Amino acid sequence: MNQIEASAHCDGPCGVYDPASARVAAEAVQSMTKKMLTLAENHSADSGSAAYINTMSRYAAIKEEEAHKCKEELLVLWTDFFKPTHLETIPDLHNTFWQAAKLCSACKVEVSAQHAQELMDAVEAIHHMFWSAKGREVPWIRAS
Amino acid sequence: MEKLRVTIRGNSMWPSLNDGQEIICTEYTGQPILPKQIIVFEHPFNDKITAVKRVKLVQNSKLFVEGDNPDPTASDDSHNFGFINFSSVIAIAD
Repeated sequence: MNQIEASAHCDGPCGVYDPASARVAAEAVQSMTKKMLTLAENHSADSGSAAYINTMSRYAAIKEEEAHKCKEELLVLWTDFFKPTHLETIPDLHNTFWQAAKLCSACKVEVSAQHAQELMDAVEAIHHMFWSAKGREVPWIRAS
Repeated sequence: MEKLRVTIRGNSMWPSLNDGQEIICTEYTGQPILPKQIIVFEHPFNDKITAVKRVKLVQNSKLFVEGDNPDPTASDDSHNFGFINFSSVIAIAD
């Protein structure tokens, strides 16, 4: 019997998905949140100085930016990678992503260590969902 | 009619066919092709590519083919290159 190969490739470089991108952004959100809380706690007497305002503003801007990036990365996984068939084995998939996206918003609006940790927890849950869907065991690792 | 062993490369036919999966096909020699059948054919814009897709529609002696992957970005098919000719069909999946 003759043997050939048939391409079932897409027309673009799609198919490269990894929740690591969302994890890095979520870690940045948590890091900036901690820095903001620490700065306010330790240097409140200097809160009127240009240096304090500048530093706090930069922390807030990075937190805002990374929280939005995290939300975008999560939405790509949710809407592009996961398929209806995944719901059979991951029935809480939609709610997990929805809650994670809302935590990104909460982390933008607030300076909340609790919500930053909850976002990390949600991204970790998505990490496990993602790799189980691909049939691989990939350990959860943090950069920070 | 000769049988062909076809190795799938890519995910456009997921979840029906996985990357690396082998399927047995029957060489196309003019037999009827029906909607829902999976066919192996020569890519209309690149004769170096042998593609595999599912027939969605047979119309005016031409075939509209598409990937099974529900991700709209995951398949290069008749949505991109239009109807294909019967003459480009190489085999039909058993």
